[in-house]
Amino acid sequence: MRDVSNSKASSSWMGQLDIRVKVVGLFTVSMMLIFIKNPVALLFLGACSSACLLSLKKYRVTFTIYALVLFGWVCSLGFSWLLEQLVSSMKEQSLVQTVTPFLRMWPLTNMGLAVSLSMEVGHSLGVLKKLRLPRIIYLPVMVALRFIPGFMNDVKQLRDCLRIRGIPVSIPQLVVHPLRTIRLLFVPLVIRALRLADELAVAAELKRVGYGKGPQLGRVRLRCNDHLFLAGIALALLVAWSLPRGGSNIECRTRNIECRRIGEEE
Amino acid sequence: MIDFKNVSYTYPYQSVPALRNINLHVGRGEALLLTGASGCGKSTVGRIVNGLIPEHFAGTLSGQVLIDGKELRDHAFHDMTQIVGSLFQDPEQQFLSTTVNDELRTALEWRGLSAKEIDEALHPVIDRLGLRSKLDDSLFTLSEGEKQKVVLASVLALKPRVLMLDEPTANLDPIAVTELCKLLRELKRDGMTLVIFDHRLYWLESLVDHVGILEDGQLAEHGDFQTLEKHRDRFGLRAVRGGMSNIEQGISNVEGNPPRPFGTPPKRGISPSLGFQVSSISFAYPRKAPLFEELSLHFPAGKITALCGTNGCGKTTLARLMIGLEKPKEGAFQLNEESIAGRDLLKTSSLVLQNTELQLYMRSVEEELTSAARAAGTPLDVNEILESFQLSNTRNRHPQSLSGGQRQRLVIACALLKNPKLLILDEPTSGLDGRNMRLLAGQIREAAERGAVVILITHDHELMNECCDLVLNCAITG
Amino acid sequence: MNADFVMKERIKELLRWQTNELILIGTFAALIKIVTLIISLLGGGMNPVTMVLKNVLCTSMLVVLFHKVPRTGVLTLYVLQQAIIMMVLMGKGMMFLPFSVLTAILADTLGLFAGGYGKTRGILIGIAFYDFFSRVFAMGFAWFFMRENLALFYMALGVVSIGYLGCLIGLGTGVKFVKEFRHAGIIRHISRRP
Repeated sequence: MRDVSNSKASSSWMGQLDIRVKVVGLFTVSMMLIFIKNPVALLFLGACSSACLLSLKKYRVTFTIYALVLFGWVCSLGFSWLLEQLVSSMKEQSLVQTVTPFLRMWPLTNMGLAVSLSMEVGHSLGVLKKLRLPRIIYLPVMVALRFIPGFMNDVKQLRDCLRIRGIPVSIPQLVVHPLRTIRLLFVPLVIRALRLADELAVAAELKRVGYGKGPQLGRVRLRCNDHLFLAGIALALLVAWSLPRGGSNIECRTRNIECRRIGEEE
Repeated sequence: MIDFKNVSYTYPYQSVPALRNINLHVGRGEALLLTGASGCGKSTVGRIVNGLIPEHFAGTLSGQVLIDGKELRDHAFHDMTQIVGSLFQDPEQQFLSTTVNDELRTALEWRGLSAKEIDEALHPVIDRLGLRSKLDDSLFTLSEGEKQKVVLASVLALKPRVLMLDEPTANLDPIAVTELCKLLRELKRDGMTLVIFDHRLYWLESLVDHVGILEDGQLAEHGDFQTLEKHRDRFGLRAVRGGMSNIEQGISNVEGNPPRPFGTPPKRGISPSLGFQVSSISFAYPRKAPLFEELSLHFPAGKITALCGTNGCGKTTLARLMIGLEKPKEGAFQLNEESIAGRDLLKTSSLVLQNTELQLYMRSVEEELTSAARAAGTPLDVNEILESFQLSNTRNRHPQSLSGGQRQRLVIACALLKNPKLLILDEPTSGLDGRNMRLLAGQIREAAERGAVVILITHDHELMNECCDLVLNCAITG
Repeated sequence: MNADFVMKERIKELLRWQTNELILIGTFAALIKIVTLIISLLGGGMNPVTMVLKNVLCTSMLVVLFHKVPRTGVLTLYVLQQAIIMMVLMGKGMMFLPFSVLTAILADTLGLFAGGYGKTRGILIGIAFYDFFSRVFAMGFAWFFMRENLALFYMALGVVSIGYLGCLIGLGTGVKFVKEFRHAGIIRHISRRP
């Protein structure tokens, strides 16, 4: 007889890791990135996390998201360049200073992507159960994850309905008729959400969902892979922390600027 | 099994009772059908049977309700959920998970059952309903019939003694209705008590033992299935038998036979060459197999064509292509012998979708109509349109506060204000009673008589009998 | 002794949520996530008009949600959920979680002192406080991440400020829509404690 126990695990090695391990790993990396200033160390962490992300072999979605992120970064660089031209004190900026924030965001983006791409949204309920959340958080999150695909469809349908009715919804329209445009988007979606929530609440009551202690889960132990993943993260962070600041020219230039600034202030 | 003695009920914030002095008896293993016009109190009776009243909906309940020989008030609500299982019109609104497997397990898990106990409870039900191959599927990729089977399986796994079904056939195609009817007969044979609330009656003759007709919260008539035939016109009910023979015609036609007349085409003075011509269109969604290849069709002007077929055969996509929401990879369209494409298609056509909530935006019915007329650039006589759609008493009401039937009529009124040359309606009568269905059919017929090409995407054979001139059956081939 | 008992009862009541309340919060969390995501994707993340629009819609929806579930703690629950959804779907948001939750708890408390979420005033104060201070915390993190390139930080500050403008407008539009929904009978006026 076939086992109908919960959710098929994702086939990638990261998909088989315990969700709690991934959350802890992600949180640790994000906090440590705040303290790491060395661009070489950030580059090293970026390279490690990229390898981790590419090992999932989801190249198409990875490169699409990368393209979007890069576009955002280029826009940010453009705006910050504009600001530097306007504010004289910001003009003296080295390449390293300009690039360091992006180097810091790079491993974070990679890790976030790796965590999300290694989970199948359709099987997110199994992931949630492993998090062992209390009922008052588990139930609404479960409902939210169940509604997300439906609402995406509703938003598309709303756009179609407005096009059929001949009502334009665009940025110029929003500027000319802000309240009307907000109403066209807001009223139907909120009403739909309220009705769906009412109906789902009735269905949940009838299934007794949301009462009692909730799903009974056996003790889920961490496996060898989970320990290895955490150890890998710790090792990478240690190596990054102990890496010397590379590139003497870059170092000197940065120091010069810092000295000059201090001199100016004096 | 179920006894109602002088039961009355009033919802909170309401002055008029929703139910008055209802007396009912359903024995173990019997099947009861309750029907009546929209708003007659059917759903309220259902909410009492499954214990939602007074647990979930407050209000005032009087009289005596006995479920399984015990007073309703003496049952703990969660014991009631083990006695009565409920199935509603739209299965999707009962889903709490995203995959079939998760959904089937959810209710059992919340009862604190172990994984082994859950498997033991689910295996027989999964086999009975043929869901084994679907366990890992997303719920959103299933057909309506399959979705309903998932809800039914999750309910049956709790081993209820009573099954309450509220408009179970409203979204089903004829094949799925036949399957549901067969399954319910088997359950009844096994001793399950059935309480069914439905507007569609044709599929129930072989299933139900008693019939009750509700009117304004009172049980107006009670008897056997013949009672429905006798009082059909008085209560504005749907057809009692006619639909069944039509369903058989529909099923035999699914295999892809050429379109054929269905019902009697009315005489009209419109040239047969006029209409909407689809010429050799091909279409595929990105990274999916082609849905249409070299498809050519003609929809005559002044006539109403029913487009039917199983879920997933491309009816809605064809409609989206025809009104310009999607672009075909190849092929062209002609409207009244003139080529038409892109934005011009959208300007001259209207599509009314099933989901009325997403098609109403304004603060009052009058404002909704005015806004639609302004967008279409057509003059508007509010009084006339309100009267013709029997919405006069709702003029100042919020469109979203109207009943399902009223909302459907308002959405169609707004679509017609555009004076479309091509009008497509997607399941316009799902959940409507006989009177509302006939009213809508009349409005659709008038639009066709003005020379529009009218297409109905529907499984409702009674609506087809009422107003359609042609039937086009879609089938998945290859 | 009596005060202790009352306090315990209040805390128990705070943690006792009905299924329909939790489902409503979950539904709105999903809706808000989808609407803001789609607007960002269609209008571009750096477009000031879409930045204002998504915040107007998000705050207005929160105002409606608070009128439907007028209970202290609703904001904290909503914030926790949003963080978990973000983490599951996008693998981000965990870094801000402790500070977001802390801000939400403070906002809920402030809302309680301002008359509770049974009153529109309490709702507006709670949401306005949360919207402001969650952005302050976010900018704190942004400074840590961008401290080498202050131009980038100021740009982020500008973006967040424009977004906050949308939140303030959203408070007004939210109240307007609540009035309309009350008139339509979709939201009923129920004042409940705590």
